[in-house]
Amino acid sequence: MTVVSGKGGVGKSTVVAACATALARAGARVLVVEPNGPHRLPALLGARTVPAGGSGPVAPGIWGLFLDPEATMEAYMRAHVRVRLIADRIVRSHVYERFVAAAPGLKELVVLGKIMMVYRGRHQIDGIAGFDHLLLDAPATGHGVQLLRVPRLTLDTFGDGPLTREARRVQTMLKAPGTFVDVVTLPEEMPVNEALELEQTIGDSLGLRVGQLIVNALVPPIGRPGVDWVSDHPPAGELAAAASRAAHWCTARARMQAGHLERAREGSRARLATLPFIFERDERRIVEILAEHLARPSAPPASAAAGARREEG
Amino acid sequence: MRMERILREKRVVVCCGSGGVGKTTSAAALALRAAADGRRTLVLTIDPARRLANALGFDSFGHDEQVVDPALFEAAGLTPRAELRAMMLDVGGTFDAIIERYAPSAEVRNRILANKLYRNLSSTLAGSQEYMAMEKLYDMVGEGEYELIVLDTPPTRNALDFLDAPRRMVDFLDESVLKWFLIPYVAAGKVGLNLLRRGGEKILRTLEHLTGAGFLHDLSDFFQAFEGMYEGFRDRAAHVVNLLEDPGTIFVLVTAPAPVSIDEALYFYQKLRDYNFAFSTFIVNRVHAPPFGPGADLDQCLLGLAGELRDAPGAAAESLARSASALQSLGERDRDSLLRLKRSVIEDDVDYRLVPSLDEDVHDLRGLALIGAAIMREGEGLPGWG
Repeated sequence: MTVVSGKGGVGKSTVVAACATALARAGARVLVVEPNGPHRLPALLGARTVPAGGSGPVAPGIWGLFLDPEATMEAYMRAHVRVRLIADRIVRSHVYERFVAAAPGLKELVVLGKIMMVYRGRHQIDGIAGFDHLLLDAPATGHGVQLLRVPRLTLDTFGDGPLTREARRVQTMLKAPGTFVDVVTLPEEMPVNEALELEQTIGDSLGLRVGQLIVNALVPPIGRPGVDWVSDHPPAGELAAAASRAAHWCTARARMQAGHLERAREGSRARLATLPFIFERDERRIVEILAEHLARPSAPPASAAAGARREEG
Repeated sequence: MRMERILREKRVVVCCGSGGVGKTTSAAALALRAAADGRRTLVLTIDPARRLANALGFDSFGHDEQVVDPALFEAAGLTPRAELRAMMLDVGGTFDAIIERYAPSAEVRNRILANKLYRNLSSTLAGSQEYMAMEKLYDMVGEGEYELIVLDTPPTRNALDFLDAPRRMVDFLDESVLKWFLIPYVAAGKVGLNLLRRGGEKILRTLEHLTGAGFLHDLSDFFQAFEGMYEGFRDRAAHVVNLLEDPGTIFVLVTAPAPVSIDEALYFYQKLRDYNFAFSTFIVNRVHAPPFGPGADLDQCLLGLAGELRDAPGAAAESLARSASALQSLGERDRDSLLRLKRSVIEDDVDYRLVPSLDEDVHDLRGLALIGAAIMREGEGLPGWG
């Protein structure tokens, strides 16, 4: 299982989609999980909608589990109470609503519990009980690493009962030898700072295994030869002048990014992986190109893909 | 309403948007501009970006107001006509301050601050960070020291967390619900029997079975301690809502031109409209201009380019062509996004300001002033844009 984490806007879902595509093409059965909406992965993987019932196949070799925390919480409650009339009364009551809002991390715990059922093969998706890889697109906005912090929070907050037992099982899944947390970031100031902080929180305070720090969207140094040449041969034509400005932009951007990449390299204890910036307009196309990039042995991919190659080689 | 008038006339500018789109930088650039134009301005940020702090001349942001050195204005070619101050919000600290203010006694205050649930709650309750940002804004407006306050809001995936925050906090702490959670006290004979409701008790028993015994006790203890504070808290939240609806307050949305950022901005915009908050401007950051101009035929341009570069060595010609194609496609993508944004809000009276993608990070007041100038510029602020 690979948990892919990172702040919003760093391309986390794109990385998950590309990684899933690369793994599926190598013959693995991959499950991608989006623990809350809006669900972006179906579109990134070329599916028109979220599968009916929130789970099912989304692309060749790729299945998806798309969760809604409120609905998952309610389903959990109903399963726990069993008697439908009583369950109806509970989930409709103000007390329940307030209780769910007040209990720290309760919804997230129930969501993780559901993922765990799939992980352990207790809950089948499309008739499949065992996936080769599970990729969890873990939001880390606003409340930091809320989702990963939840098992411990639950154990701190609640007394012994079904929830604490659930939290312990989830913790076992997150700490299993095959579970890695990959942190995705951009080669920019704040994203690198936040990613290094996130890495530290995940590794030190949560005691989970950080697989890789993935620095996404590096502009390749394509502008250098052009910039060197025009510095001695000022462009005469309009088009060459425009191209020269573009080469300058690429070079300046690559230089700026290189500084932040270096900071990431120095500050991180995890393996550093990079992904190129893809100059394309279409999101699907970007996922495709990145998936091809990940399939190349020279490209350091997400932890799950690295694992897959170790098995093959 | 034009940006110039906003900075001249409004009292509060709220900068919203998702994370990583340059929201904090935009907020600081607007505040700098207003101060340079003569209004005593405060920028309230939540983002501890060291580079931005450095750009304003600080080692780091503190939780107290810091004055930007007027000498830095002059070095950046600006006249410091009024004072600019900056301050970073301390989320946990602000919540504690509210408890301090409304607790009827030291004993109640200590009981809440020491409550295990409270300590987790202030960081996990949906919207609590957002609410605290608005609380602080209300405080600072109330102090009346500033002619303009620019608020940089927390990045939020879910717009509702931010806009709903005051109502949600009031609902959450609503008395009529609080009493249900006091039931364990009924059993212990601590509150009157009239609060006892069989149905509520049954529900609580079910929940208690899930959570174990200690939790409901903590919850009950927290709510009981909070009971006397509810009224003050509710009044204050109502004032915060009033402030956001005040004619002196205006919202701007900061976004980036990537498709997903535009989606989020449009979603947020719809929410702002649903809430009837006054909205003026989309600030689109890091926009790339297509080098051959928007809508240019790339193949034709590359052919022409090859002609102009016929004396260049292969590697240089290749590099120039690849750079130009790359930036052209990025520029066209940005243009598609902006056209989509415009089409989506075509019937509304909104303004757009485009800030070009810069070659370097903002590291001084001059850099911020450049961004400010791009935001203020007429004609959408991007040269070479069709």
